[in-house]
Amino acid sequence: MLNKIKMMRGFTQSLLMLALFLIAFTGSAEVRVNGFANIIAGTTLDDDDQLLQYDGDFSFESESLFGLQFSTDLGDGLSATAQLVARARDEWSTDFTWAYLSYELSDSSSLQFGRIRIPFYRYSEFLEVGYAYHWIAPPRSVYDLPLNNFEGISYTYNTTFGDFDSALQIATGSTDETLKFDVDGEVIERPSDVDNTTSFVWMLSDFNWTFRLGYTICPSCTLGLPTDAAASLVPDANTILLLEDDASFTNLGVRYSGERWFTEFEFTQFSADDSILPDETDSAYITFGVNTDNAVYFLTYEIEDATPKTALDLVGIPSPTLDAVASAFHEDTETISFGIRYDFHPSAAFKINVSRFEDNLTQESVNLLTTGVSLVF
Amino acid sequence: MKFVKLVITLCALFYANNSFADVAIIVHPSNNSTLSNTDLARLFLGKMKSFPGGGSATPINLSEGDAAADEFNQKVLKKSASQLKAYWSKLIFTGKGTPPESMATAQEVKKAVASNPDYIGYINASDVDDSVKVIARF
Repeated sequence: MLNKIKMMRGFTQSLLMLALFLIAFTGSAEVRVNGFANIIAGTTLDDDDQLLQYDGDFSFESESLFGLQFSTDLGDGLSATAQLVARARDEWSTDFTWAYLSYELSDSSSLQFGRIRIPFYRYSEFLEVGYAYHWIAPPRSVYDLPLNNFEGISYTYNTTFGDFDSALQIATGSTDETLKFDVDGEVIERPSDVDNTTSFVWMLSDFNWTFRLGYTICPSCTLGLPTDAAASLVPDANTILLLEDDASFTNLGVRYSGERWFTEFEFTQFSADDSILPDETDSAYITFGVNTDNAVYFLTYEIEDATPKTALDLVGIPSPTLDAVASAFHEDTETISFGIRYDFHPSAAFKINVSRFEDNLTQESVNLLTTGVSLVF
Repeated sequence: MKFVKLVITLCALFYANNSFADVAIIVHPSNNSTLSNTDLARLFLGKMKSFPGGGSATPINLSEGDAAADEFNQKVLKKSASQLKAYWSKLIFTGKGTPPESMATAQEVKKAVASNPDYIGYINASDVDDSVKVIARF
């Protein structure tokens, strides 16, 4: 089964690339090229502090990236799109964030087939297109799932209710992408095997309001975790590992945007059964911004909260060692940020952001300064 | 008195300037559609693909930076040029839509609209002639 899925994935990607290149070379259809880039530098304001892979020295490594999208209209509602992103933190190696065939079934419904973004959050689908939003990146305490893409199929149905546009999306797919965890400034890689994950998203919007409800269910979720070595401490490794267990993700979002100001809120809950992970990890942010002619001034407040499992929950007997391992998932953090986006050019925005991150468990705080340019072309 | 005169002159200038900058929404003379401001915005933001009375609709923009384009974006779409660009980048990079085709001059827009009942565009009101029909002014 697994091999079959892997073959399918390889096949889909090769097919898409072949289609795109054939078209490009034969010139039978126009290939549209669009791109985006974020060149972002950051530093913590105290030499000894680390946050989001930034330390006391100015660095461009953590968030700088460059994306190119190739798309072509094959006629009769069929189109092919591939989006490649190269990130500084991966030594600029490229990765397909999107590679799909899209088919318009009618004016109101469409299908996408291939490698697509998992619609976990409001900003998932354009997560890395910094030009599209006011932040340097969406709030990291909320946008912290280690998975972004799957290979599968997505159906979207658009309709209107009075002045509101409604978009209902159902996407289902599988992935075995390598997960990357940031543990005390070090990147730890773990395997994953996620089959038949399904997302349901409903978005309702008019000119001022956007409401979003998203739910993703993964009935047989295998996610490697940084704590996997602790499985040897217990009689049944499965009590520690997230191995073919149920996991789900809920997202609720509201945005109001007027001519002069806007505000946005997102709440998320990640739930996982039968592993060392907390039953629930909650996170939320609220952001408020003021628009002037060519600048946005904004504040963002984020929280993340999770109560860890104990050895009693896991194996029924006390164990300080196991408690210590499980406490890696204990979260009680707050972040407050102030930022400015300045549109100095028709296709480029300068951004600067100062954040204060507080860990209420350790009573530690870190101040972070990030700045740079986001552009589209 | 001098002050009053100055104020009147300034007001007159402002008014003249303002009416000079009027934007006219134009369609093919055979197109009998009536469009609300919301319909217009929805058409030019890619949220609506046909005229309210039926018939597919293809909006045409004026190039970025054109005075009539800025006026249209402000008054009808209620977005600055960069907000509009941010809006379209969300759709482009998620495969959900592409911005309307842009033409460089009012003459080109007029010519396109006059030749195809599906087209809808906007130009400076002073550029309007009999080849097209004005359905709204801003």
